[in-house]
Amino acid sequence: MSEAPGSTRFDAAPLSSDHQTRFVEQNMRRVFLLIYRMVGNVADAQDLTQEAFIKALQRQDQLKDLDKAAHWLSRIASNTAIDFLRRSGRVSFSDIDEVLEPVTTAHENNPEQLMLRGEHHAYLEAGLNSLTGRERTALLLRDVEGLAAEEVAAQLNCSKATVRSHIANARVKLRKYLERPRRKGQA
Amino acid sequence: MKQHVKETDLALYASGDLRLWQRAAVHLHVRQCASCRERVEEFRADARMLREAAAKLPEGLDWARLASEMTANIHVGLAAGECVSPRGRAGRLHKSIPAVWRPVALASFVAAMLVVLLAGGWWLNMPSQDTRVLSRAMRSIWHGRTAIEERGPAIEASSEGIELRKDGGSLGVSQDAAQLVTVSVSTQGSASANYVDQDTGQVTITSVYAQ
Repeated sequence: MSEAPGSTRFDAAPLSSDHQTRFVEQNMRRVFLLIYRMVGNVADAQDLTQEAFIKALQRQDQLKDLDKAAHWLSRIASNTAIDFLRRSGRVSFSDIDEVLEPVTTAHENNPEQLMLRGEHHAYLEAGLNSLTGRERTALLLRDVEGLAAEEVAAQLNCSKATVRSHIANARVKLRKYLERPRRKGQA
Repeated sequence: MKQHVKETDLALYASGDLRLWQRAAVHLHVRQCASCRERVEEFRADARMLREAAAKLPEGLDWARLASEMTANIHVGLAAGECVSPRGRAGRLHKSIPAVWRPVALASFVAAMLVVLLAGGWWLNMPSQDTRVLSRAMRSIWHGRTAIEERGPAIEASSEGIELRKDGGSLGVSQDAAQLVTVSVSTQGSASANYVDQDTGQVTITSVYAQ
């Protein structure tokens, strides 16, 4: 991530208002982006980011290791997003054989159109959104947040084999998505 | 060249997520197969690109405005949580009492709770007729009237004598030209009045018992 994880230290006593504000400012962009990539739209990401920070600050007494505040916050954020995806029926981590539709298949996210406009990141984002919710979440936690497969499995409350399967499928599908315009151009 | 490795295995091999024995087998193949080696590099490049892209904000998003809005909402949410949290309320009350007085406050609270429990037990053990009378009396006191006027059988002692009233009717023992000296009322439902005749000095003691 471009922004360093928050370095605000928690004390045994609750954080003062100034410390809370600093903690929020230092971590907000990172948390928002993590949630945004998971849920795929700004409005939901905004609500869930706020919810994640409120949960974290209300439970600050649960944090044992002060040096892991950023990681702890990421875990709360991703769990908040996962709960949201579960509630909205867009993702389920309990059954590997369940097939879920991608989040977006809108016409404006058509690969050719996006590449013609030179929107490289938007194109990658569209590729990410072509994955199922569980594939996208597992891939983001592994490749963007840098969690080990075991940690991803623990966070998603499923087996390591299931997580490996999600990650592998996500990488293969994303690669194929990114290759589509190249093939078209070569034809 | 042997058969190529499955794409999903290459995808996991790229990040070291393959099981140990599979990793060794894939490693041997990739060293000899340029096609699979290239595929592994593509997966690694995708991961790097994904990390870079994930750090960028969505197109056209006014981050400053959104961040300040979220910060304000988080503070409002925390304040609202404080208002409805029982733990928060108890904590604030606890902190508002000086440490020296906390044992006294705790003892007072326990004593008050005991009184409430005892009063409740006494009330529940009273005969229902008595509780009705007591309720009427308490209501009368609350509304500023004399309890004796509302209590069914009532005994009133005055300089004219002693009178028993019940259900609108009355029965009295009058004392003409006498001066009331003392009146005593027992909790068993009786009243007694001592009268002195001003002319003769005769003392008359009248007692009335309500059954």
